[in-house]
Amino acid sequence: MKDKRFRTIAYSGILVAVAFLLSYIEMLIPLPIGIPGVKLGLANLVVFAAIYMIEDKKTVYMIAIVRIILTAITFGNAYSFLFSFAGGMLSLSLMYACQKRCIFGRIGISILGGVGHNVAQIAVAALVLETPELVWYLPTLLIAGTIAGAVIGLVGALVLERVLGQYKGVDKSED
Amino acid sequence: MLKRNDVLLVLGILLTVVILYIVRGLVMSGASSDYIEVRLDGKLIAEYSLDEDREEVIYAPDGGYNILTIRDGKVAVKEADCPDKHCVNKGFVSGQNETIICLPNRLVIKLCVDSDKTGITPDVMAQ
Repeated sequence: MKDKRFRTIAYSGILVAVAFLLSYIEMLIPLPIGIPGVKLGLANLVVFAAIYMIEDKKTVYMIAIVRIILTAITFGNAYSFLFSFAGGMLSLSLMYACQKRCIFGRIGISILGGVGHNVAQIAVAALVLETPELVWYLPTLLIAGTIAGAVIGLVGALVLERVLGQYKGVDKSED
Repeated sequence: MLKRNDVLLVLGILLTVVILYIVRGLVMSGASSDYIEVRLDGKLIAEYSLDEDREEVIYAPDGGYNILTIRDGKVAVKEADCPDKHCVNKGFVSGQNETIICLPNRLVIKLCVDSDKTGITPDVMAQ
């Protein structure tokens, strides 16, 4: 029991670090489309994996929030924090809601995460900037979110297969 | 791994996208615009005609900047200090109702036609 708690703490630390690193790597990959929000969302890979790796919901939300704060402080500003926070939270909540009810497979959940991220971000941006015209970015953002979500879901499933295999292996040898 | 519902989800998203694109096509005609509105935090701070080539530096309240260029009836953000550079990557645009947006600096450049004009238009740059 105690081991499990320690492991969650250790995993959280590693996941935050990996997410932070992925956010940085993502910044090095330019996507010259000219629409805010069109990106791979590599850091979502970590959040996606965390949903399956860590049982405690609160911990997963904390990982996502700490990642967003770290990224905003290092690479962004107060507003980029606001936009990614809205995106990150809706994305995570959607993924949890659908995972619980088993409506979608892992890829479907990841696609919802990607799309949810983009929709929330553009909605908050339209409100803050008082620019309803931002909704015209929505179709492009939906496509981008779907593709990014599918890629993250595919890669995430591969990662999970290996990590969870490891996880269970450790469990058996210790108990 | 890929459930039937996943496929339905993607199809649903695609349908939404097609509908949105059609609606957008109706709103944004290919006609070129006459002037641009520059907004910071949703507030209109300047308007520039697209007939005249010029370069303007727009300062965000917290110190960020975007340099916009108007050339040959088109507008682009030439340079900006934002982290993502989406505004710069967008390049030159001229279409009606097009927008260039820099989220980190809360800058919105909207392209308008003369018939959009409503009342008084400030022509001065707010610092």
